[in-house]
Amino acid sequence: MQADIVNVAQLPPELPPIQPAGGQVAQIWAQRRHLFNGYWAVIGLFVVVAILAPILAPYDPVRSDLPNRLLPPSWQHWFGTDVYGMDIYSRVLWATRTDFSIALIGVLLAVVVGVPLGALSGYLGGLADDALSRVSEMIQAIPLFLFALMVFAALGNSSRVLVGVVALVNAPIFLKLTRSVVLPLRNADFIAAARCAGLRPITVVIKHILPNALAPVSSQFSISCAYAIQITAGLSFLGFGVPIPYPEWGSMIQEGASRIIYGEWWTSVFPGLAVLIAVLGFGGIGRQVHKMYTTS
Amino acid sequence: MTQVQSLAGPAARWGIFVARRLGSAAVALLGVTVLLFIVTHLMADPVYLLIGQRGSPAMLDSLRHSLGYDQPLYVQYARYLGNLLHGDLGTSRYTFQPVAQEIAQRFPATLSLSIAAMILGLIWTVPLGVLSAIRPGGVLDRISQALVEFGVAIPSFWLGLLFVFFLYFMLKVAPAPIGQLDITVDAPPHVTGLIVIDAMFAGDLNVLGNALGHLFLPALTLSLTSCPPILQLTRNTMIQVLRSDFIRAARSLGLPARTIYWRYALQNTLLPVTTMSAMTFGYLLGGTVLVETVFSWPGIGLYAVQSMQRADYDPILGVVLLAATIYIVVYLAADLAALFIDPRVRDAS
Amino acid sequence: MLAEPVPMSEPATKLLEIRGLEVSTEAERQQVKLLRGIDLWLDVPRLGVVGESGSGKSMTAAAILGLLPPGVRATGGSIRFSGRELTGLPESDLQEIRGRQISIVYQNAITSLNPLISVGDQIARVCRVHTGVSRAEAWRRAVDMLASLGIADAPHRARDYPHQFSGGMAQRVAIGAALICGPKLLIADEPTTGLDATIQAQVLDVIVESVRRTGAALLLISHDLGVIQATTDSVVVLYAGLVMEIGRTTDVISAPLNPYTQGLVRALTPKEDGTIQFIPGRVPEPQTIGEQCPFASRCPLVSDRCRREKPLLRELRPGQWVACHNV
Repeated sequence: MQADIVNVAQLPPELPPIQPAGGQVAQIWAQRRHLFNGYWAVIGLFVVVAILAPILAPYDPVRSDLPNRLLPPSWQHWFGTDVYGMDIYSRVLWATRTDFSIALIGVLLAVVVGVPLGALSGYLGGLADDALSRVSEMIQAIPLFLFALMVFAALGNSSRVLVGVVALVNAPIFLKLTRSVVLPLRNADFIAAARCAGLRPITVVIKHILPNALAPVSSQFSISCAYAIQITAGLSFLGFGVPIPYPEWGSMIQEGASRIIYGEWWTSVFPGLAVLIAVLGFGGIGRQVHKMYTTS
Repeated sequence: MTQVQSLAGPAARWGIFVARRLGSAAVALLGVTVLLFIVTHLMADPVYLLIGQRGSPAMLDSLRHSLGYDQPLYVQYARYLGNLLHGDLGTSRYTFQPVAQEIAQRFPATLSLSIAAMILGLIWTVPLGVLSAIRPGGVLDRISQALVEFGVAIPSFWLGLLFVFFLYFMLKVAPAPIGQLDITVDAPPHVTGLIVIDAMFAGDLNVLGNALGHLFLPALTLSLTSCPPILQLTRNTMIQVLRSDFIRAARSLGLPARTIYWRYALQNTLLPVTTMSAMTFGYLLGGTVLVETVFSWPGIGLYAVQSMQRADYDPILGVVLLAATIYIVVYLAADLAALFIDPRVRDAS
Repeated sequence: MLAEPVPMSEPATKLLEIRGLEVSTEAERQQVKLLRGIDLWLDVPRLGVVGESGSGKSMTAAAILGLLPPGVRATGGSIRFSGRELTGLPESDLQEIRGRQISIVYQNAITSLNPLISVGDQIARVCRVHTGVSRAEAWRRAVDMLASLGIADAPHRARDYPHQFSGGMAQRVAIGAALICGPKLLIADEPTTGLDATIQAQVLDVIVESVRRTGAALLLISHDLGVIQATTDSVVVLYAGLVMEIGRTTDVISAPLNPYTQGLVRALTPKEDGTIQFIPGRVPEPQTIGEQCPFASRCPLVSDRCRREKPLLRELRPGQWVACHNV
C-alpha cells in the first residue's frame, strides 16, 4: 500500500495535452496555408458540381434522344452526345454525385470498420492481432478486380455491393495504419500512467491513443477516396455496380468504348478526364494533409 | 576465420528461415481457399443453377443430396480442398469444360502481356529513376514526379482507349485492338503457348511482327499504370544511397561519376527495386482484367469477366485462386531471393 | 610509437598551403561563413588539426578535395597543393587528384566501404582508375597492400565483404584504398573516433607506419588532443572556422599561447579531485559570429577589440603562430 502511494507520486504531473479539434484546425491553417492549393480547389469544385448538378446540367441525364445520337462536341452539347443521344456534359455532371457518394460512403465504411479493428489489433496484440493481420494480408493478396468480381458473384450485382467492395478493399489499409500507430504506444509511459490512474482500457485507447492516428487516417482517407473512385469507375466499366443508364463515369467510358475505333472519341474521353482529375485531386489532398502533419 | 567456420550453423539457420517463410505462405494460401469456399456458399445455389425452376423441391433436394451439398460444412470444405489439390477447379457452366483446362489455355496470353509490361516498365522506370536522383528537383526529376502522379491516377482502361484512338484511329500505326493477332494470321505451332516465343521458335517473322504489334499497346498501357511505384522507389532509394558514406568515400578516392552512379550506387538500389519489381509482376498477373477487356486480349482476366457476365461462377474462383497463389508465391520468392542477393542479409540470418 | 620527424629543409613550395580560406553557405538568404579565413600549411610530415565539433575541421578537408556539400561553396582564399591552386579547378582535374595525389579516410570505415563489393575489388578499382593497370595486376597490388597493413591471410581476406571486418580492420582496408596509388598527402578525418582504446592505438600505428612507408604526408583531424599529441609533429588549432594557433605539437601542448588552446590543454588534465576543467560556455552558431574573434564570448582575456576585429596569425615565438589580440 505504501509502495503504491510512492509510485503514484512519481507519475508525470499531467498526461500530454490533447488539443481540442477546433484549435488544431486553426493552428494548421495559420501555419500551413500554402498547402491548401489547387488540389483542394479541384475537389471543392467537384463537390459543388455534385450538389448543384440538377441546376448546372442543361439536359436530363437519362433522357434518350436517338435522332441526336453520337453528335460531336458543339455549342448545344458541350461534350457531345452518346449512343443513346443523351447529353454527355449533363451526364458527367450528374455522375459526379454517383461516383463521389459511392467513394465517400465506401471509404467511410472502411474507416468505421478498419480503424477500431486496427486499434484493437494493436492494443491487444497476441493472437487477436495475428489473426486480424493474417486476414488483412489475405484480402490484400487477392488482386483487386478479381476480388471484386468474386464478391459480386457471391452477393449479386448492385451499387450497394459496389460500396461494400470499396469498403472491403480499403478496410485492411486502415486497419494496418491504425495498428501501426497504436502498437508502439501500447507500452508508452503515459499509457501506463493512465492505466495506473484507473482509466479503463477503452477510455485510454479512445482518448489518448487514437488522436495520434487522426492525422495519418485523414491523409489516408483522401488517398483511399482516390482509390475508391478508380475502383468504382473500373468496376462500372466492366458492368458491375451501377446499372445503365444511371450516369456513372466508368459505365459512360464503357458505352463509348466500342465507338472509339470509329473515331467517336467524346463519349469516352470526357468521363475519363473527370475520373483522372478527381483521382489526382484526392491524391493531392492526401499528400498535402500528410505534409501538414509530418513537417514541423 | 569466417571461411573456416563450420557451415552447419548458418545452413541450419537458413533452413529454419526458409521453412518459416514457406509455412507463412502456405497458411496464406489456405486462408484464400477458405475464403473462396465461403464465397461459393454465398453464391447462387449451384443446384438451383443446374436445374433452375424446372425442378420440384423434391428433385432439388435429391440432387443436392447426391451431389453432397447437404453434408456438414467442414466435410464439404475437405472435399473442396481435395479437389483443388487434384487440380480440379470445377467446371464451366457455359462450356462444360473443366475450368482448370480453360484457365491453362488462356494463361499464356496473360503471361505474355505481363512479361511485356514488366520489360517495358523496367526500361522506362529504372533509368529515369536513376537520372532523377542524380539531380533531385531538376527538370528530369519533376517530369518523373509528374509521371508517377499521373500514372497512378489515370484509369488504365481509359488510357488504353486513348492509345487506341490516337495510334490506331488517328495515326493508323497500331493494329486493331482485337486480341493477340490479326484475324488473318494463324497462331504459330504450340511450344510454350506464348505466341511471341512460339513465333520465334518457328522462325516466322511475319507472325512475330504481328504478335509484337498487337502486344505493344496493351503492354504499354499496363506498364504506364502499374510501374510508376518502381520509378518512385528507384528514385528515392537512389537519392538515399547517393547520400551515404561509401559514396562519399568513393568520390573522395577519385572514382568517376559514371562508376559512382551506374555501378556503386545503382547496385545498392537494386535490392529493394528488384523486390518491388517482383511484387509488381505478381500483381500484374492478376491485374490485367481491365486492359484485357479493352484490347479483347484472351487472357484469364477477360475469361473472368466474360464468365461473370454469363453468371458462370466457377471460372472466377479458379482465376482468383490462381492469381492469389501466384502473388503469394512471387512474394515468397522475392523474399528468399533477397537473402541471396545481399551478402549482409545472407550472413546475418 | 613516434619516430623522429624527418628533418626537412625549408622547402620553397610547401606540399599544402591554405591562405585565407573562406567557405560559406546560404541560410535564410544570408551568407553564413563556416570557415572564416583559414591559414595553414604543411611543412612537416605529420600535421594535426584539432578542434571541437563544428570548428570546421572536416569542412577544411572537404574544401581541399573539392567535395563541399551542396549549398556550401568556397568564397575566398586559396588552397595550393604542390604549388597548384585547387579552388576553382574543374571536376575532371579534381577527380584525377583525388585518390592519386590526395586521399582521405573517414571516421566510420565500415560504412565508408561499398557493402556489396569485396574489399579487394574496391581497392583494386581505385588502383585501376588512376593507373590503368590490368585487373590481375591491380588485384595483386591490392592484396599486397592489405598484407602490408597487417591483415592476416590477405589473399583470402581480400575476397571478403566489409561487414565481415571489425572496425579496426575495416579502417585498414580504407587506408589501403587511400594509399594504393601512392598519394603525396593522406587526410585522416577522425579515423579512430568510435573505436576501442586499444584498437585506436593500433589503427594510429598503422596510419603512421604506412604513411612513413609510402612517403606520404599526413593531415590528421581529430577532436582528441591525446591522439594529436601521440601522432603529429605540428598541430593547427581550429575554433569556429578560424585558426587560433599553429605550431609544433610539443610546443603547443606544453606551452599554449592562445587562450582557447590553453583551455583545451587544461581540459586534458583533470584536477586532483578528478573533475575536468571545461571551457565555460558554448560554441556560437556560425551565423551569429560576424567579423569578430569567435572565441570572444568565452575568452578570459576578452577585450573590446576582440568583439570588433578578427585576430590574425602572428608568429609570437619561432615556429609558433597565434591569433589573438591580447597575447
